[in-house]
Parts: sequence; C-alpha cells; structure tokens
Amino acid sequence: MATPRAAGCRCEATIPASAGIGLRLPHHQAFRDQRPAIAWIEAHSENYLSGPAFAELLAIRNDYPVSLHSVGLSLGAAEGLDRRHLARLKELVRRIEPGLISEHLAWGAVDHAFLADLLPLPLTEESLAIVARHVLRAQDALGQRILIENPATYLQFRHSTIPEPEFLAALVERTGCGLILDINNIIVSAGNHGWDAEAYLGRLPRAAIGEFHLAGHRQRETEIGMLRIDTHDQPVAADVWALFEVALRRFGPRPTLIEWDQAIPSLDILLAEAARAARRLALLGLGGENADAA
Amino acid sequence: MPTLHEFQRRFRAALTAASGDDLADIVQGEGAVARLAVYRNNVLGTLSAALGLNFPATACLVGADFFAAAAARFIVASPPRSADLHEYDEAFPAFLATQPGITARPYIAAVAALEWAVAQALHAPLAPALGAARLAALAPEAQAALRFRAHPSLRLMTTSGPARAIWEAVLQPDEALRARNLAAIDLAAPGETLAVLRVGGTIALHPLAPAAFAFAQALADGETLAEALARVPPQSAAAWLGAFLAQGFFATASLRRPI
Repeated sequence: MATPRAAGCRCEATIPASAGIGLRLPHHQAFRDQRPAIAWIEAHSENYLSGPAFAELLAIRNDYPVSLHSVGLSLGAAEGLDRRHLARLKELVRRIEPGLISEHLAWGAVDHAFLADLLPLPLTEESLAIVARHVLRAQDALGQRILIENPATYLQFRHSTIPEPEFLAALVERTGCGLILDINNIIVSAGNHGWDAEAYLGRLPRAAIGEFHLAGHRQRETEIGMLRIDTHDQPVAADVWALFEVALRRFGPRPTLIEWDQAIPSLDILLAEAARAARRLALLGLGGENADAA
Repeated sequence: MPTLHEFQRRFRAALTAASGDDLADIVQGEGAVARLAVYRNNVLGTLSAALGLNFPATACLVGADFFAAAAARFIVASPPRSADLHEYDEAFPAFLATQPGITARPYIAAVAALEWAVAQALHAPLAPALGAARLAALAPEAQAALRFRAHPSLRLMTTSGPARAIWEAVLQPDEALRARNLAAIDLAAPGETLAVLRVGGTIALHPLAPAAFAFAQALADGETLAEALARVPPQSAAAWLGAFLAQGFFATASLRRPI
C-alpha cells in the first residue's frame, strides 16, 4: 500500500528509477480505492484532456508521481504543431505537475488530418530540422525537457540518410531533450528491418536516456515472412527481457514502464509484470555508470 | 526525393484511400504492401474504435458490420481534426444519413445526432452546479439582472423523431426488455426539444416544452433573467427556472456583462 496522505497533499513529482505501470481506465477505481503499491504511473496525455478523466487523474496524482506520455503531438509533421493541442497539453502539465513528459519520434498529422497512429519518418536532414524545431517549441511551451521515444516501425524509406540511433543522438544534441528507450520497439524494429538490436543500444547517448519502456508484441506471418507487430496486448517477450538486461548493464537503472494497453489485464497481472522489471532493476541496474570505463 | 510534406501527403493517401499507391518506389527493401498494411490497420482500427465509443447505440442499431464499413468510409472522407479522439466526430451523424442501405431509416442518423450531444456532455469539463439557494438570497431587482453561465456539459438540442426513446431502449442491458421497448416505439412520433447534460457522471435527458426550451436557450446564451423572462409566459417561468436549477443546468450566475 502507498502511504495514505492527508487531503490536499500531493506526493512529490519525481519519477524514481524503479518500475511503473501505464494508467488505464479499467484500473481507475482500483487506484482510487486500493492505492496499489507501485512507484509511479504513466498516463497517455490525450486520454486525460476531457473533464471526468482529467479529474480522476488529478485525484490519483495525489498518491503517485505521474509521467505524462503523449501520442498526439505529431512532432514529425511537416506542417507544424497543432497549437490548440499544445495549449491543452500545457494546461494538463500545469495541473498535473508530471515528473516526466514524453512523446515519440513519429508523425501523425498532415493537412490538419490527424491519423491517430505513430507513423514512420524518412530520417533525413530535413526531418531532423523539423523534429528538432518542434521539440524545442514543445519544451518551451511545456516548461521542461521532454523525452523522445524510439518508435516501432514496419517501413524504412530509400531517401533516409541517417540511421535511427544517430538521428536520436543528433536530436538530443540539438534540443537538449532526453530519450525513452523502448526496448520492445527496438526488438520489433530490429526484427522487421534486420537491425542488430544490441548494436543499436551502443549508438545512443547514455546521459540522455531518462526512461525505459517494456511491452508485449506479436509476430504475424505475412507474404514477406514474419513481421513483428507492436501490440501492447500481452506479457513482455523473452527477447525483450534479455535486451532490457543488456540495457540495464550498459546504462544503469532508469524509470521503467510496463505498457499494456490493449486486451488490458487485471491490475494484479500488470503489477506482477512490473515486479519482474523491478527485480531486474535491483539486480542489474547498479553498474551503469562504470560500464563506460570497461 | 520528396520533401517531408510531399511524403506525408502521399503516405496519407496511400493509407486511407484505395489509391493503389503502395509507395514501392520510396520504400526500402521488399514488402511495401504488407508493411503499409500494418499502419493501415492501426489507423482504421483506432479511429473506428473511437467512433464506436462515441456512437454505441448507433453501432448497435446498424449492426457491427455495417458500422465498421460506414466508419471506414467516414475515416477516409473526414479524418479527425484533433488528437483528442473524444472529439471524433460531429459530422458522423450527417454522413450516416447519406449511407446507402439506411436512407430508409432516418431515425439512425437522428439517434447518432443525439449520441454526439451525449458524448460532448460526457467529456465536458467538470464544474459544480449552481443551486437555487444562492439566488434566493438576492433581492428581486438583482435577480432580474442576473446572467447565467450554462453548465459545461449542457447541450440544448432538437431531436428528429423518437431519437430519445430509441436511444434509451437500445442501451437497455436487459435483452428482453430492450426488444419490448424497441417494439413499442412509434417511429412516426415527432422530435423533441431536449436538454442533455451530465449529472454525477451519468447522462440525464430532459424533454422540454418548446417555450421552456426557448427560455433555457436564452439563459444559456447569456441573456439576463429579465430579458429571458420577456420571451415566455410569466406564469410558467418561475417553475421552469426552479427546475433548471434543480437539474443542474447552470454553473454560475453573475451580475456582470459577459466579456
């Protein structure tokens, strides 16, 4: 049980380097009534812009540090950021006081149509300039550094000139943003494009990594063979746990999120999955800073 | 090499329209069609689910297959303008009215229009309701100059046909009762003037007589109480105002002019 707090008190914002879970509508009541023992929670910003859901998050925030994870800012949209959406996120941030704010290396809007997916970018100098401009604008509006997550992708483009880890590193350098390392997304993308997942880790700037994500995915047989699909609908796969262990040895402990937002299981199952991550954080997350010297 | 904007326009067309464009000339490696299909399924699945959440009774009325097909056509014609999918989409009821196969059943679009008001009410900002006790303390002259601000969840609408009765019947969880209630509905019944609002987390629908509706509308539009009273039969207005306040139509009242 989390420590009960006096009414009107709010627990501190900082997200600890331990395991957290994504907050989902079916679990709101359990969070209110039982205050499950979890170090922090992550909420999809776009799910909490409407009145009642926002009020519930505000209440839950009293007992837990909250990370706000957006899926709708479309940082890679050539046409620019949606001002109204950014203003609504700014208000959400003001009220919730999140310990971390994050978005994705992706785009989702063109000609003011919002396509509701994290779509793949050609990784070019033009894209880098656009994403960097939008990250700076978002950080300016939201008043703090944001973390950018590596996407799960199914397509790459011939005119891309910058490999994804180098693109993320350059984005960090230009904007001062941090990174979410989504271990599941690395496994999914590496499987779909024939990348070396461990080598990918080695090309990222260690100091920028502010969070890990873990999730389940599926393998689907298609006419071009097996594709890995980022479904978030089941337990974390064995190869994702293995790469997480590599990441922990390399980077040290970071806040680590279990994402399970389709076919949402009972809270107990979700908490058990978080406990698996917590055990690895405790066992393996000690040597991070020294690993560089080795 | 396409600019990013050109690329994104082309990608959108390939995703949402049956343009036949598989992006093969810009995709690296094999399998552009199968890979693009993952994104197409994601977009269609997410947006179709968002429509289903905002229009559950409509989906129930037309059946899952028809709803999915109509949603897929709508998504191509009218994608969301906002990343907040609770706002998807005001134009869906009118779109449904044009769909082949249900043009002979206009009550479906009418129920969808009601569901849109319900969805807006459900997701509106929270605010306490203004009670009658606060007003009773004011002198009559002060009361006359009051302007009310509608509760953020209040929607005043005119329905077409028996949309409210159908909506209430369709969402009845007991199957036998649902069938009985639906069978009892007179599809030729006239539309209603209706107040839709959220009270304590659930939706309340209040049918109003046309004069009471006009009175509520005038108050919600920011007229002073005296101005709104001038529009309606004086003998009824006090009771109507009492009912509006008891039902939580208003969030605040003020003596200042609206900005």
